[in-house]
Amino acid sequence: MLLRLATWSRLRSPWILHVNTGACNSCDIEVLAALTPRFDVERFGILLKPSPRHADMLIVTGAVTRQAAERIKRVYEQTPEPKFVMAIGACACGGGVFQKCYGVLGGVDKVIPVDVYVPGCPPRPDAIIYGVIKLIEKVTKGGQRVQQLSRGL
Amino acid sequence: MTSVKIVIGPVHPALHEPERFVFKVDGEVVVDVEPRLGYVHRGIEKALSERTFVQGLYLIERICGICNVAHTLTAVQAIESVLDVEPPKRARYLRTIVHELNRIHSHLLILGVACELIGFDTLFMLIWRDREAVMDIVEMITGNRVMSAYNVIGGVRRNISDHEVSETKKALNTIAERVKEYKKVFMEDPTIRARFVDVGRLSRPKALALGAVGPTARGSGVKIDVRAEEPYAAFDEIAFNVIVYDEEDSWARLMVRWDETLESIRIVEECLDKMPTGPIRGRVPMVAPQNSEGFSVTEAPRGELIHHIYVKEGDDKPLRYRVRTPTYANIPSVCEMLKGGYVADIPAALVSIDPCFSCTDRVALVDARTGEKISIDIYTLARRYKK
Amino acid sequence: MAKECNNLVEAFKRGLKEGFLGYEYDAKKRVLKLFVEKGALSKLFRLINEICGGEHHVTTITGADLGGEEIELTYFSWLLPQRLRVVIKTRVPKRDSRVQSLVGMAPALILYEREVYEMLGVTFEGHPKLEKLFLPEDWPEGVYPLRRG
Repeated sequence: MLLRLATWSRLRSPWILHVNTGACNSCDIEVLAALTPRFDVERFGILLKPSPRHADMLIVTGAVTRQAAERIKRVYEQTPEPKFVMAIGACACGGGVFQKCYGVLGGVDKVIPVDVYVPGCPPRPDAIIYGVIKLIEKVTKGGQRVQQLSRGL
Repeated sequence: MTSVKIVIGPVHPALHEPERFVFKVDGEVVVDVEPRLGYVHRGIEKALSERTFVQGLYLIERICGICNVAHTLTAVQAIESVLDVEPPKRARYLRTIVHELNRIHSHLLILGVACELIGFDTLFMLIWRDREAVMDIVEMITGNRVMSAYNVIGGVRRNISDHEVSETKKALNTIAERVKEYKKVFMEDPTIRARFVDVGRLSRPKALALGAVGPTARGSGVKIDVRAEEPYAAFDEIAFNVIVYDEEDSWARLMVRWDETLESIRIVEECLDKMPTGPIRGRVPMVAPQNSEGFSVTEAPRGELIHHIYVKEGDDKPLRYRVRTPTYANIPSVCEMLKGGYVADIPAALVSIDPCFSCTDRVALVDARTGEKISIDIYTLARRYKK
Repeated sequence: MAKECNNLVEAFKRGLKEGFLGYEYDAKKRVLKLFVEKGALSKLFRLINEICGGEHHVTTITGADLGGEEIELTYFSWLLPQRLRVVIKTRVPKRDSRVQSLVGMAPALILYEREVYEMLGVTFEGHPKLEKLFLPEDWPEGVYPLRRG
């Protein structure tokens, strides 16, 4: 019970680190648009932070290029538990149009575990916010990740 | 001479950190700059020779999400030149409208981001709020906010109704008024001037010799704009000004974009007024009618963009497809701008060329004496070094 | 414009002699295509710089393996005073794919030469830093992604 409350309060205002692993930037600008007055994701307490050390959530865009793979792995390791990962856009979900290009590994889940996939090319800011809400719901409804967290305690 | 020591968590020296640029620094001064461009390398040129012309368009559109319209326009023009296709006149006007709307959104984007980078959050929010009005117009005309797939080989995909024309004009009127206000802020606000004036100096001879393009070149007095020099789409019939500033600094490059945004609004209005009637799309062969080669040059928001294509008779795929983006062309100029400058000025200089890579990208600072390396993202660098 | 173009072509013919292989002029698009021997490139660029008074804007290089024994290099330029698009074509044999670097005369080429080198294996002799540009450091030596077999 206490654990669920702690998780919920942390996720009431999740802090997000946005990482681009080789994206064309269209997902990135829709993530940024989600912060701006029209969509205003800050009303949910969501804040974009520049460092993995402060992040609860990693938002990853892009089809992971070979050079980006190491970086996203390390960023994931530097992010403290409990941490969650959202793959934004078709490329992050599974390589998108860049599947089978020699420079590309594929979706983000080839490198780190993903909790929520937001498809789209790019997904609208509304869809991105919906994805964040879904993630919060998933965790607070006592999903698998909450059990993982209890093991950590 | 003290060395730069910024610790951003434990950075293991053995692990390869894919930074955008590596700066050799001596204290606060940048001694040398080396670009690292592999981070976003996806192998697109090779992939395009394995896809049909139409399949290729989907890939080309995603070379850069921000100026995707410029890429598809340049692509269809290059492909049309080798398939012997001439798009109808109305299509050329529609292409110009969406092309300029793309420029407006892209300029507002980077101008807002420039504010955000130097801590001027309110202005960033205001500019991006007004940018949403442009995204609305684009969505209304093309069916989508960002990836519109509007340009097709032979024409455009969607027509525009009279209602859409009047809505667009109304929205553009409001946007123009706001842009004029923001431009005034950029000309007068002391914080903005302090962070951008005299930063990232690029002399005219250097800009020309290093092949700078777009606002990066025009902010240094180089008067080149593909729309005026090699008119495409409907630009041979539309009057507009090529914007040039002579200050040769980051401020000038940003000011060029404010003025260009106003010019683009005028261009769209003129196109809407002069729009010819007729079809929006013509018939297109599936395969190349003969061995040939073609290219198309356009003025993308960041500058001169070129697509170069070779085809073999009877093929439905290109033999070779080459894309040279404007940011790529500007890299040597960026290196030149930053050499001899201050570490504190790196973010303001980078943002002024409107680089087509993510703003969360990292740069590396290497102490010129000790070889010690620090990796830092541009956002944090901007915040740490307030003048 | 056609007359001015003729003057240019005559100047190139005179300057390059046997290095000048031919030309095509598209009056409608104002594009001048020049075909030259690879050894004549540096002379040609020098001539262009003189004729333009330095107002020569270099666009890019395309390297292409069209399936034969040679790699075709296409240099794109814009001549400001003449308002002319110039497209320079030359061929480099695959078995001896060396060509002189033009970075000294046209600094804008510094990254494009590196790209053609890593993608097609053309060596630009005299380039200050002929290394990989886009490909990762661990990319195998001698493997050129845009070469066809």
